[in-house]
Amino acid sequence: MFGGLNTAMLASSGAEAGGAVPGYQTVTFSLILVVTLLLLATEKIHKTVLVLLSGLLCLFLADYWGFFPHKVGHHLPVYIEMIEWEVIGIVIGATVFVEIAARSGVFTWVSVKMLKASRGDPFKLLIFLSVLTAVFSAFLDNITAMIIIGSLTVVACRKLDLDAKPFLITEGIMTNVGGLLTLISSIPNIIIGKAAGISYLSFVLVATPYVVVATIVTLLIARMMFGKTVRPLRDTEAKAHNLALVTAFDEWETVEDRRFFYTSIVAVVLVILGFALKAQIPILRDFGIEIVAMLAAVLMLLLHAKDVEHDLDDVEWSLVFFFVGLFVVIGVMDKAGVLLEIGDLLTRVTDETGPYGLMWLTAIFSSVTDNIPLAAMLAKILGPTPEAAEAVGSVEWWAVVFGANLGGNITPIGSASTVVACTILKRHGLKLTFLEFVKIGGVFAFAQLLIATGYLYGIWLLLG
Amino acid sequence: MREQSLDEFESIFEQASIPVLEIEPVTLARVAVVLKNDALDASVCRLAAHLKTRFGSEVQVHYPDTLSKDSVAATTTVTDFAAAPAAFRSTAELVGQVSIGRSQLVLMPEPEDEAGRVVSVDALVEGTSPPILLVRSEIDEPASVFSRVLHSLTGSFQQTQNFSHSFTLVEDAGQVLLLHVVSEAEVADVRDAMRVSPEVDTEEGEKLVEKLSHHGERFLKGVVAAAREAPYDASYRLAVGDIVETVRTELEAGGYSVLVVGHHVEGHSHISADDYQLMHTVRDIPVLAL
Repeated sequence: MFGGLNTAMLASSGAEAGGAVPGYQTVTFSLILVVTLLLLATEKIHKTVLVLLSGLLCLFLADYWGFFPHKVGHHLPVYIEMIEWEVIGIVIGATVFVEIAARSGVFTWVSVKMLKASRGDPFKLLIFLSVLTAVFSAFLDNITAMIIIGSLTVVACRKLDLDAKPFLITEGIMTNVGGLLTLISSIPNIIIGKAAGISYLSFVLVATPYVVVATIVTLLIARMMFGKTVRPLRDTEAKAHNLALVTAFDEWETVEDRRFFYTSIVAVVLVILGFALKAQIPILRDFGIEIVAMLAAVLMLLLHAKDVEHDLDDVEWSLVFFFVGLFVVIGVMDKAGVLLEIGDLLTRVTDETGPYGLMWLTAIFSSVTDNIPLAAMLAKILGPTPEAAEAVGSVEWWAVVFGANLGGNITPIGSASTVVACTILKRHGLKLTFLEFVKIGGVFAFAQLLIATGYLYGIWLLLG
Repeated sequence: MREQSLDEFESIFEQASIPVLEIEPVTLARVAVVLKNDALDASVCRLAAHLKTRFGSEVQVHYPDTLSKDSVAATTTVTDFAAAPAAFRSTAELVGQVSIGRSQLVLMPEPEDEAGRVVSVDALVEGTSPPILLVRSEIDEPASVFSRVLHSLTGSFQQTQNFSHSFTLVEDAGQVLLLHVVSEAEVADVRDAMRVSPEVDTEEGEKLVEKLSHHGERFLKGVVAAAREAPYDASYRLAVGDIVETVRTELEAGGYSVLVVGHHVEGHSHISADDYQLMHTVRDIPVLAL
């Protein structure tokens, strides 16, 4: 019914090792994968160390069992084939770009502007800050977006004498909605987008209608759920009081160097245009999106040349190494036929439920463990994009994108941004237990996934 | 790292918020007048009577026991203070009386002639909590004393309580100038320390000094905005230089009617060395030591 999974390709990949992989070997690697995923979920060992360890174990075993057909010794080219350098390029480039742009004060300036635009009205404040969180998440990584907006929320709520909890929870949830907006908004998007060959612009065009609807619904739910705190102000005196409090914020106080501020705005606009119009720009046409990301990073390093060492320190190197280990694990799992087995299992699920089941399963899995390995694994398993859907990706790809992003809203540990929201709450003595979050986040996630189900059906209808 | 970022951004936004201040008038329900058998006693009594009319204050007269009750009665007769005058034998006893009486302002003449002084001003400032107004010249028109106030700010002053006395006491059509002088010598010391410290980058150090002055100015802006909202005729001036010299120059140029020095935070006076110097050397207008 829907595009289909990549089982044929996976089968040939397994055979690459020199014929069918013996069952006990597949079982052994499956066990390694299960243990790795379980340990990832428990967070007892740092995820980078764990995945690198697992990657090395997989490599040694794969070599021992003769998975590598062209025996050239343990040299990098063998491993490099498994590593998705494009993904790593995007992560490094985007991180450097975003960290430096954030230092220019562009994002804090906009945040304070939005705070002032709310005139201190709690409901408007919820709308403005939540929408801004979604927009920031689209262009920054979710953690940075949550840190900036969350910090402002805490300060603003303290001044306005409001309970920050409803705001922070809604913002944490909105980062995952905003994270759906572009190809580079979240790691699962990067992985899936690259594997599916979806362009930046196509991704935005497909995702935007959903993000708009999901944002409106999320805000309506937040209004109903947190009515007491986020009620619009009616009293004229209270309105004037709150207006005076937010007017006292000076957005320029967050900008240290105006020249750097203005050049950063130009750079941000240029880079977004570069991502969006890459296919139309002759010099960029033949390069991958990771080259645009690296170009953006170099541009920002040029603009902020005085502290290059410090700026490069901001690259999340642990994430980069995590990817290296993860791609090795998944590469070996592919050769060992483990992904073929998982693909078969998923085929049975999708045959019964269509891509909807895949989306809900991905969401549930993402709510309790890291969505990056899941996305990376599914990117290998999912079938090639059908011809009819070449430009925008198949329904299955989108099912994984929606599931991996929105699943993070179900539990406080489901995504990095909800973890940050809970950390901010804890720092300020606002208690929120795991179950309390699940009760709140579950409602939001259920509504968002329900809309996504309908949206996927719409995509399927459009693609025929 | 993330925790650090949270701190960093919270502090950025905290600093982006100019304080919205409310100037709460101080209560002047009880005013103490200290007589000294001086020509200025009558001026102080007139001022107390004026404050009594303005704030409904209860005035308690204190006098050294070397003075006769009759002369005290003669000085205070025109002012009609209800409470019976209290005699004291020493500064320590006066401190006790002022404290027990929970006076909120002390008015005291201070003759130029040191021999004529029966009370040690320094001991009184240190021993009591209410602000003390030192009167050193004849006051014919009590309403003129708080018509043009120069409030000198030194050190850390980021509390509105410091300004409340000036804004409470200033007359309806009066003006208040908040003068913050950053000590040039102190800034030079900080710069020297930064220059020799391997831990501090000179450029960063300069930025820090700039930031501190900038924050001070933002706070003053907030105070002046709040004062104007109240509404008071208020303005501020920032200067870098020798504190005492700058204040004296401003006094000479501005035609002020009273000088306010020191901090008064949570019921306690904090007078710096510069404030002490000003308190003792400015003689042509009254000085209010907070």
